Amino acid sequence: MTAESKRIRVEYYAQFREKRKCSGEEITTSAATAIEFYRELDAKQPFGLFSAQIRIALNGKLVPWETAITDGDTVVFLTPFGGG
Amino acid sequence: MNLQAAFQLSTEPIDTTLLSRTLADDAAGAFVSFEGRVRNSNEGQKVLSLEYEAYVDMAISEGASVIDEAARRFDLIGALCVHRTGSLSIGDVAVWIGVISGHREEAFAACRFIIDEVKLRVPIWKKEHYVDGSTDWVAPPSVDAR
Repeated sequence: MTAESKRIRVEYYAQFREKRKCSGEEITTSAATAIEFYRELDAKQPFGLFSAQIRIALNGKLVPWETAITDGDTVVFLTPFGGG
Repeated sequence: MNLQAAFQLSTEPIDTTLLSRTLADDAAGAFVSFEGRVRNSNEGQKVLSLEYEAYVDMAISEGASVIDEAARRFDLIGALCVHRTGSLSIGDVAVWIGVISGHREEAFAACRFIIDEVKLRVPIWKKEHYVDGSTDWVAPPSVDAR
């Protein structure tokens, strides 16, 4: 596993947006997978959200947490939906 | 088949009359619509207003795939779903779904399918503002169960 740094765009919605007080940011990371990336962000500044309910979208598609992230990806953390 | 199918987000109030007129086809023997409205209470709390927030790109693509799936599964002639975003008051239409098909069975079933799938799959979040001044992001328990 390489530890090359990559630029990831994170967009925040709903509770995540309120916790971070912004709608998104560019992060340079060496995280290999989505879960590593989430843990890195949460360790730096805890989101304070119940992580068992959180899912992840990579470039607009729901993906498993173990999915590899690559330079230029857009990541969105999803709390349970409330539409309808 | 000349299928009319779409999923849209709207920051403006939903004109349900206009939407139902767009679903017109001489082969359609049935038109069924569902309107989700803002209720004045939730789990014992008195609701004053609410906000819907969407992850727009994914909401549009997931919503479109729900509509396409419904159209195929129920052999629809047309299907349309519009979901509000932004600030809503009590009684406002939060979501509107309309389908047309040859017969009523498919239309009823498709309408139900679309609202259930939209709730599960489309990234939209709801923040309720209560009469006592507090707020909360709410999701139906069924979302976690599936």
